[in-house]
Amino acid sequence: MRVEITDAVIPAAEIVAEMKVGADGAVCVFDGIVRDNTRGRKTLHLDYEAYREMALEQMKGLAAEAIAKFGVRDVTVVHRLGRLVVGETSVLIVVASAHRGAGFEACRWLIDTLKKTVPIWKKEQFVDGAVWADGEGFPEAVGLGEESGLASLDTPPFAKGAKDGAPGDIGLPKARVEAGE
Amino acid sequence: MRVRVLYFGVLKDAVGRGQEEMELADGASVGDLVRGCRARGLLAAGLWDSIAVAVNQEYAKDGDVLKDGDEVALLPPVSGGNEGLGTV
Repeated sequence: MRVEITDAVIPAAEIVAEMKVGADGAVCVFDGIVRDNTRGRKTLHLDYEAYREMALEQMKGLAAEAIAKFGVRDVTVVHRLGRLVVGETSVLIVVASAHRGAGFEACRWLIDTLKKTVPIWKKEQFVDGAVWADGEGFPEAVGLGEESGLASLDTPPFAKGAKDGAPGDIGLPKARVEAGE
Repeated sequence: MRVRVLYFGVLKDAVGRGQEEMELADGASVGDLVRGCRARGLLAAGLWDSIAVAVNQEYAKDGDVLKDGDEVALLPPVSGGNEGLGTV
């Protein structure tokens, strides 16, 4: 199992070649590359950032889960951070297995799940502006939960504090700058 | 108690920094912290409804109680990989 977050170019062809062993009947590859547009808006480059330590742990967890869930022999997941230009690989997933069915399924599950749960973000720089790409939204399992009440600001005691303009009254945090990035 | 709060993506841009220390009342929960940040009005309300929170690098729930020294990350919807599905 190889799981990495890197700031360097991902050597996709070499990684795929290294994954193959005699027991494998199939190697499925998802090579995610930077597209030259989003809905017709011309892309100059993408800037990827991550909650790096957590993202790596999440990716390791997904790789192990894929092996257990689909019974594939081995998995590689590599994600690149920093500035990427059109055509460059941002994420590479390689699944080696005895049979193609499990390989396809594991590969698809890995990229789909990674995109929903691994804390990595990208900012798209267009010719005419920049925007943080919207994600698909967190699955219920990793969200704050229905009981959060975050969508129901009308319910006390929050509404009271908000209306009074005195958030300190309800024990809300006071921020103090310690370090910037 | 004091916790370290980390911001990422659109949140980091809105706050203007990647992290800060916060003083919280003892017994404060993840939800208390998020509601406090939300009350600062840094982002459209809709975005707050879609964030997740990690405490010490594990996804947390609204009711989880924080303790001194925790690292609390506020995470906008993730967008790794390559295909952007969002609106631009």
